[in-house]
Amino acid sequence: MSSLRSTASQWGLLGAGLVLALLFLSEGVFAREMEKCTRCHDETEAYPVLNILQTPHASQADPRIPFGSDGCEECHGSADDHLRPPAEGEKRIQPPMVFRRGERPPEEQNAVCLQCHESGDRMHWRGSPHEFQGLACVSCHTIHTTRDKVLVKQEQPQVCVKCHTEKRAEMLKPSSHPVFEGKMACTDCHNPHGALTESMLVEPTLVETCYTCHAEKRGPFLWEHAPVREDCSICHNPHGSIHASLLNTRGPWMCQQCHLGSHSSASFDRTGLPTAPQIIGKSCLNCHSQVHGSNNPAGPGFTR
Amino acid sequence: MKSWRKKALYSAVAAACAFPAGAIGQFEFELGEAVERDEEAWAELTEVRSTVEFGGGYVSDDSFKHGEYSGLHSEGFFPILNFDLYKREAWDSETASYWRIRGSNVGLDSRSLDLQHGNQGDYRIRLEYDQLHRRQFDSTETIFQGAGGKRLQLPEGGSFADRADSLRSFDIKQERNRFGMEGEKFLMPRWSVRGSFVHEKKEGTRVTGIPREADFFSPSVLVPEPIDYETNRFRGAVAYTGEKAQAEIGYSLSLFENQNRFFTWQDPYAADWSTAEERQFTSAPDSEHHQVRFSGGYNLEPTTRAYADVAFGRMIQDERFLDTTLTPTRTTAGGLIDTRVANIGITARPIPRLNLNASFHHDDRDNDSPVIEVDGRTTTPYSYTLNRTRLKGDYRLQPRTNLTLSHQYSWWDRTYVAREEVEEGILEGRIKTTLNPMFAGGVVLAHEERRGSTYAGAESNPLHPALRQSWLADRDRDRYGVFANVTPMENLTFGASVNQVKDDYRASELGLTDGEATIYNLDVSFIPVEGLTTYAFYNYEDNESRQVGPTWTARLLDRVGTAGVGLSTSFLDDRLKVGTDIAYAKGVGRVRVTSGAGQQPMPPLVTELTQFSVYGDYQVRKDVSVLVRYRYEEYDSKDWGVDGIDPDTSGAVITMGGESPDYKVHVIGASLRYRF
Repeated sequence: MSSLRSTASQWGLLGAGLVLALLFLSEGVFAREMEKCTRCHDETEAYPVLNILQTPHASQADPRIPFGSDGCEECHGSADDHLRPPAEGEKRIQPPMVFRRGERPPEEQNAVCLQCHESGDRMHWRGSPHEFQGLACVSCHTIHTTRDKVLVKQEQPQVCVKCHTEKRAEMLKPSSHPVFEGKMACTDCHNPHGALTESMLVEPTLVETCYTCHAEKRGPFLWEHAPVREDCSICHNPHGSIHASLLNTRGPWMCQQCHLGSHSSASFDRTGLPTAPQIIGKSCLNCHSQVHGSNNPAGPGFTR
Repeated sequence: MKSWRKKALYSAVAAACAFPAGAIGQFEFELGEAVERDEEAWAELTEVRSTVEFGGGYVSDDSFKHGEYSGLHSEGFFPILNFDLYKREAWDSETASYWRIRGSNVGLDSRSLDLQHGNQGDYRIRLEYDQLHRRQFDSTETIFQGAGGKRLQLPEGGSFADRADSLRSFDIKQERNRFGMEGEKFLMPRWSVRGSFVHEKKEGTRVTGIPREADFFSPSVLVPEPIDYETNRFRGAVAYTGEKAQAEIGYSLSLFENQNRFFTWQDPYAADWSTAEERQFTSAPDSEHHQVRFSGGYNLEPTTRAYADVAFGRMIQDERFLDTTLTPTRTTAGGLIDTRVANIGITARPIPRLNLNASFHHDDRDNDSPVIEVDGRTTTPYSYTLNRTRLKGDYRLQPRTNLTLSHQYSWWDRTYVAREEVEEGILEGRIKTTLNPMFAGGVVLAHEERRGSTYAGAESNPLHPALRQSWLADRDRDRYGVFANVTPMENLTFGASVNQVKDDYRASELGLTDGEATIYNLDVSFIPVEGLTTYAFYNYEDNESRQVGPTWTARLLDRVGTAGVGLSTSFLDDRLKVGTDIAYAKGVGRVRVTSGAGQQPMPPLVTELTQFSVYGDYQVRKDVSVLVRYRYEEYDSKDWGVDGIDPDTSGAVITMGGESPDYKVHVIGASLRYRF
């Protein structure tokens, strides 16, 4: 009789194994992996956990996305301890990875994201200024949504100025790029994930970043203006200025920082108002309008 | 079948079925009783939705400055139309295809459209259209007929003396229309290719100053220069994404084409405009820029990564010169600059507490344009090479205290400038600590020194050899900063910082001699009750610099204060969301010039901006919301270079007049948002 019971047990175990194997090979088990979380983190949660299913991160058809096989645990880690009922008077154990400030160290949080995202624009995250500052991906990004603010041009600046508060002040100045108007994003010029360039610019140099929209300044010109070729920020503040054309300083004093010539070394003060051509209108640019470079043989003084 | 065998088989099947059921039962035991799913709420959270918002608004007054980029520049009604049409296969579907069409400000000339389609993990394509209208000056005047075109002519029968009677209003504005497309194909498992094309057209006018004569001081005139630019940009790249290595190599081409190679203008200083000489003015030449760029990273160890970003480019410009009485030795500039930029480095965390980074930057602009002689003057095809090393380390002294030290050393070699070799060193230290959950703060200190080879003062400026051009001059720069974040309660956060930069151009007798900038910043975020979020910020910037001329000294002071408060909250179970934002910014620029005649300060330059907005979003039904917006903006500015200066005020420059902008504008809008 005992041998019969033993045979029955073996059959039972075999059958159970077969069913489990079938379940694991089918997609049904994937859903249950996720459902083991959504049993509690359901539609009643204040935080919209389920919104992840609207996003690319949950797509099962994309073979690159591990959500299909591991569900929420792919990012949040094994939930075994979290599922265990807490002892009386104790809190439930958190999942191994909670993407929130003050939970896990930023580099550990980011390592989860970098498993899939260490390419393209994010290739140089490691070693980047934001990484050194201890930022986590979720410092800027919201994952459980189809409208991540930082990815929407009109809303992105509001995310960036939360830390870069001085840039908010600069962009409220009367001369500024149309960032708060939603026509430019910070990422049009900067790569916040890290670039090996100065100020994490998207193009190899500052001037090339500016040429993206201001190609008419590129030349090369017959008559070149040396600092213009090298660095636009010598004269302009791209984030904003109280002076026209984003100038760091108003003319003629801007120009007099480098040019004290036969007529440019004079003292210009209020006695020149309202007629002195060096200070009214466009100041030095009343004549030297081709200050970015001239392609006219008659333009060595950038007047043609 | 014998009964025991049947029993065994049944028990095996039952056991097999019971095992997973038991497992689920175990979850129920641990997680509590399963509750019935709210299918409607589930669908709401898990299925993507589209939205369309439409309505109208009203602008109370005309103002170019108010609508400089927004499109709300004219008094009157305006349409509101925004949409986000989104379709994505369900998360557990067999395909991951999607399309999304977004439009914003569709009824205004600041509209943008964005279409995205793809099959996730397979391919994606994107089409984009963006319109950017910039309204620059609406109170300007010109004496020229044909303004906006390529031929600026003076009125028949007029003369310089009649210029005040010959003015006509002409607005200065530009419009950019950008059309872009891009696509990417993922070549499984590790490769992808992508390409993009952007076409941008910029049209309109800008104010350009032209002196009567090119080579010596002469009276000038401001004219509306016609703008008709086209820029086409192509990019193509192949990317590799491996577990250890990621790399991308691509080619880009930018073609700039100016449809107005030149425009003509008549000399308004002629005594008789009927016979005034017609002259040509050169506009920006066509040009092209080719570039090959490689970017990659390799994980040598899990905590060590080497990276590189290398770009080789060529800028070309060979536009034929305009006909001139001068005799250049070539008919084109033959402009050619080879660019080489390389960034290589390594970053590592040898121990968890230490993050290190070392990098080298090389930037070379090799201007191979020929030296051209034009009637005794020769061109200066300027080149430079910049090399830079940077070392940076971040060490966790205590569990919540980090020390960051960095050193950067740069050296430049330049041609055709007063100082050919310049070097600069920067040493920076920063300590940041989180004493407890309530307080985090730190200090930043940096010192920079710029030095160089002998400055060719007498050679570059025989008149004033003591001048040191500010971008080449010796300079000591010190930077100080303190910052703190205080969270006395979970729902209240204060952030404060003070940063100061001091420049000393230690060897400059003439030119920029010293400067100081201090920025104070305060931010507060407060959530007094759940669902009510408030914030406030204040920023004050104080810039002061001093520069010296042969007979004068000028102190330039720019002070800007910016402040704002706002709140947002919701009522009726989140069905009604309301909020308000207030921002204020005031900038004052002063120039105090002291010369032999004593101090003659310029009048202050003032800009003052006040913004107030309030909004409400009421969800009438789950799929229908009503949105109401109100915004008030007041702007006041004073600019001595423009205000009260008519085109005929000066005998030496004919301006386009205009006034610095002042306005008070109310904007109200109401719209309906349908979600489906």
